[in-house]
Amino acid sequence: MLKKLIFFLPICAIAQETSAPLSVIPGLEKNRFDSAIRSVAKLDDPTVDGWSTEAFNETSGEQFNKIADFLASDHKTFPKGLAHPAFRLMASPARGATSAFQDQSLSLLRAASPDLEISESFQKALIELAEPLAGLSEIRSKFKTIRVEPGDEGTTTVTYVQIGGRDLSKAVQLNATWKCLWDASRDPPLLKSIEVSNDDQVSHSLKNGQSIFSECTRSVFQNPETFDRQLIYGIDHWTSRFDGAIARPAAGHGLAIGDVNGDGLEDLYLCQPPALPNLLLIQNPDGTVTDTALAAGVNWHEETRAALLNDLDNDGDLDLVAVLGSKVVVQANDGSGKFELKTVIDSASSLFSINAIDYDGDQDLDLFICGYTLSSGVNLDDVFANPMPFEDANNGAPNLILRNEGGWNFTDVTSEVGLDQNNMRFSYASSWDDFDRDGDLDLYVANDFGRNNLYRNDGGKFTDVAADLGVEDIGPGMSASWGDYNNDGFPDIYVSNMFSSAGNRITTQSQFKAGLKEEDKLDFRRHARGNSLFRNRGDGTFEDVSVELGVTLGRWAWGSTFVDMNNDGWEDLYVTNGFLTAQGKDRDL
Amino acid sequence: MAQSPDENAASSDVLRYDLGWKAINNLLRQGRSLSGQERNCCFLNLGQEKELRFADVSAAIGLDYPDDGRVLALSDWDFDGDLDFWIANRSGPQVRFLRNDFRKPESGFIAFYLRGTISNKDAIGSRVTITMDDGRIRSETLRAGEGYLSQSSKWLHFGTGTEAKVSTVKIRWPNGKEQALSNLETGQRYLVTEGKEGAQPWKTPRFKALAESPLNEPPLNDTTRIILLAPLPLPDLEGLTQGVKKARLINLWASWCPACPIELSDWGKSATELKKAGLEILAVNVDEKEDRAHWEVLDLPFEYRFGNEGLVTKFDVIQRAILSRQRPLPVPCSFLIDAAGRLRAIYKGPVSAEQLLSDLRLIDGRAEETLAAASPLPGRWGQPPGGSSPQQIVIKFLEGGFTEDARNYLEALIQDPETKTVGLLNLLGGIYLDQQEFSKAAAVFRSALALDPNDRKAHLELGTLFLAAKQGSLAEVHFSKILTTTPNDPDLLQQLGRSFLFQGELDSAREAFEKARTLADSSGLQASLVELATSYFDAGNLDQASDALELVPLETSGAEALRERLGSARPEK
Repeated sequence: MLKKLIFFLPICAIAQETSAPLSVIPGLEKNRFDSAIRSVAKLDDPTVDGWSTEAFNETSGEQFNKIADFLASDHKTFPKGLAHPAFRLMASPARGATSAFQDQSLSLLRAASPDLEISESFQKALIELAEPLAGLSEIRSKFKTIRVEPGDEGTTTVTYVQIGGRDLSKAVQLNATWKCLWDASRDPPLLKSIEVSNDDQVSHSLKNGQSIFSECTRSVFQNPETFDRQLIYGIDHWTSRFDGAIARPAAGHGLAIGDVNGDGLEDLYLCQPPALPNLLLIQNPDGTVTDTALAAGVNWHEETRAALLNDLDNDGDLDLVAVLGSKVVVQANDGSGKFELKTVIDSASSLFSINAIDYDGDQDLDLFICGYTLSSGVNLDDVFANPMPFEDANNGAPNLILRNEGGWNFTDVTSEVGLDQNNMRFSYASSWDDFDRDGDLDLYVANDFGRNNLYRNDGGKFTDVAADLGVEDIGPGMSASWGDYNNDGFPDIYVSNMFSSAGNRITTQSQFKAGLKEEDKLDFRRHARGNSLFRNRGDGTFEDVSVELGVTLGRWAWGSTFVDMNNDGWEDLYVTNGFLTAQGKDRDL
Repeated sequence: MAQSPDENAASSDVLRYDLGWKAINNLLRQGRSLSGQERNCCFLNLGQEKELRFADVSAAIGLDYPDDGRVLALSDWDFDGDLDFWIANRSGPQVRFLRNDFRKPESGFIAFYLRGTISNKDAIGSRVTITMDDGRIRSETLRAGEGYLSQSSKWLHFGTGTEAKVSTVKIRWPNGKEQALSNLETGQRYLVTEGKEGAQPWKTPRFKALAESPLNEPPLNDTTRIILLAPLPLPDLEGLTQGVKKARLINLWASWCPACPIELSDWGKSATELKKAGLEILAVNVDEKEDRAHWEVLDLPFEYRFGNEGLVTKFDVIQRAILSRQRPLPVPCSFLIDAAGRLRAIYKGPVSAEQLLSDLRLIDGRAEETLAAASPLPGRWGQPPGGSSPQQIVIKFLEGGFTEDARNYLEALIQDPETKTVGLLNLLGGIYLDQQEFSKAAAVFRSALALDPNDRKAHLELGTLFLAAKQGSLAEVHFSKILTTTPNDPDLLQQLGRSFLFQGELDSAREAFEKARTLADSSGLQASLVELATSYFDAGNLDQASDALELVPLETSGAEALRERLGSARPEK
């Protein structure tokens, strides 16, 4: 492999891009290359495949959109054809009865349930709903329906509602769950009642429209050209202009923070999607960054999923480990932020997240790396592999642990230490902590399409105890973090999954996998439930507190982490999400 | 999408399930959205001791970016006492730096940087526990990398609130040794070195505040120059792309496109140079109806022809096969083809004569130069990538219904040992099967096995062909071969059984059918069992015939008739 490494600097400009948009040749807009898609789309068309409840979700969704339009308006013109004459609103009296949180810039009012007040006018209900939004702009509403149940009195839907708006002095967010009863005999269906629960009103005070978080991305680059030329674009930009052999869709490209040149300031190694070289962003004394990847010898062109800045030879500086496809590339730092290639380790897995850990206590850092699919025999053009069985797939690829032998030698000791148990999953991410407080760090692994692992470390030997301790969290695991959210001294686990409102609607219905046992259906339901939070009981076991603490709705989640954003001593959570957004006017699937 | 098959799934179910994923992958390549425009979520810990819960405050605090967010790393980047976010996205902007201005630096936090001396130098695996004077306890473990593709700062940052003070700090180093620290203040950063008493206050650098700068990804722009990494043999498109023996630029233009005649005229000015460099230009008009006047008025020394819809669509197929993100072909666009009929570059939007002359030099240039032109942002390659494969063009042809084009293209590709692959042979075999040219199909599947004796697809198709020809022993060879890797595929077991049936090896057939039946019953299998029973009956083995019939439901086609014949041949006792 080392012999194959070549190093040269292509000097060539990107083709000049004119600003005038090009016209498509007529007739080509209509796609004819999608016979497979057409047959699947037909299957998924709710009006033809018998999922009449899905069709109802579409029509009731259009009715909710009328409410969204009203809220975004001046609140003077009321929507028509939306409510039944006998409409009733059931909500707690005078929303915002108690303060659930208050600091100098954020406040949260939580309506006290369950004393329900009944309002019998739809117009009055809308006025009440719109009241906290009076005078605000940029009003946005999102309705996510998670249940559709036909019944004798009409069809009931359960919907998560989020509404936000702002002006220069404050930003307001309303969260609630609406249980709606519809007269489904009418087209479109008419609202007979709304029952409001989990009713929160968040207010954030702004100074001249300025929020607590400031978007400083462009200004953090001392030379914004790097940003304007490469980073402003998403992957679709590159995959639509480079040979597909170079620019492929990528699942993700990682970030590693560390002080690379020992000047006390944090630096960032930015992995890039295929076709773009990785960047090493060194922080300048004024807080801006400069890319030194070329001079540092770390501007790898291959798709790089993850990287790590750690001292692997205990010489006091941070070395670089980068995961390039199925290869682990290790480079030594000379102390000034220049790197020399030391070793390249090939693996059988297409690799994702990477951690450094001294699992065996021999005073040097070893490496743990997640494997997702096997590196050969899969179609690299496909974003997805074919997990089987979908809800509990075991045809992924092995994770590996590499023991640091010194002298830049690493040995794969996965089987030797017991990490080969349950090790053919689609692993995306992992995190270490001492959950049982026995002095060594244990390992949690988030696996896509199935159950996760918790490997208990007993002096360098590992046992998968996820099932015994109730943290398998069967589902599309994307990320996992440890953090002590309740400050009891025991680390808890937060796992990113996917919340799918369609999945929630479908998997809760009787016709879904009708032949399947109820307990097996739960596995499918878990796939749509969303993120999970497991409380460490302190006795070595865990309790799933995700739903009661209100942290499931992370949408199609990827990265997530505990973070005390407001320094109040309580860990908050942040979740990055969204699968694929197409530019242009294509409708979301 | 088809429902997920079980572990011992029949190959037919697996195929259907694969098609579901294939369809999704196709959708994505065409730039359709799936769970797109989702907004990042931020859950605030309300910190109520009695009834702990979180609230979604994403929109209120402006962290609800609609990006396809992926990776999240934390650091107090500007050392102002709160954690800032670095985020990597799939969509643009590909990275965001979000500065946290929640608290001003006076207090509200305490942070530690640990240095190992006996333990690993980064002190990874250490645990720091702080106790506040109001009794609250906070603890954090120092990690190197966690969560999805992320490594956050090595500083351990503790929010403390502004009211309470820190009473004690306890550090447990990776080797288990504990160290206690006292008299530490909030609003401070400390360096702690293993084995060294006390903590050293760390002087915080002051930065000038960065300006806020809202970002939006620029709209998608199709104008681009795509240099192919490796020459790609092209199908013959109406005699335009093959057998020309000269480098050729095929330009698609329309009379209604203002940029098109400008581009053509620009080339006209350099016509002599382009010709001298060995490039022939062919202008293909893609107007709905041809009007030669549009061309004649340009008065250019280039070849001209009218391009019908079929021809244009095939050029569209080719560019779709090459790009991961497919967009319909715009005008003007041009395809640079070398003298051997291989595609070297695609230009979407106008290209200058100067650029063409420069790209012509790449044709006979070094691979490194081509790689540099194909991936123009300078960087280091561990292993330079290979080029796009003709297989993608074939698949796109088939999806678009251009079966004859696919067939002709494949027949040309497999003539050349350089381009012949198992994948292409199997694709051609599939076309022959559809066209009922069975002997041709068998020949290419055999060629595939000559290249890879273990290829499943070729074995499966050959086995099926021999079964159809009732050549049991030949079929058996192929089914046995693939069953060695998937011994529990009920479809394959049934086919193996039928191979035995045709050879008159009834007991072996029965064994295969019975195993298939324990894995999954199907109407096909029941029909095979009736066939088996009939064969037993014809051979005079009435008991076995009757046993085989026991395995199928009463109403199975042919079962009732056979049962009657059995009954009359052997009256009930």
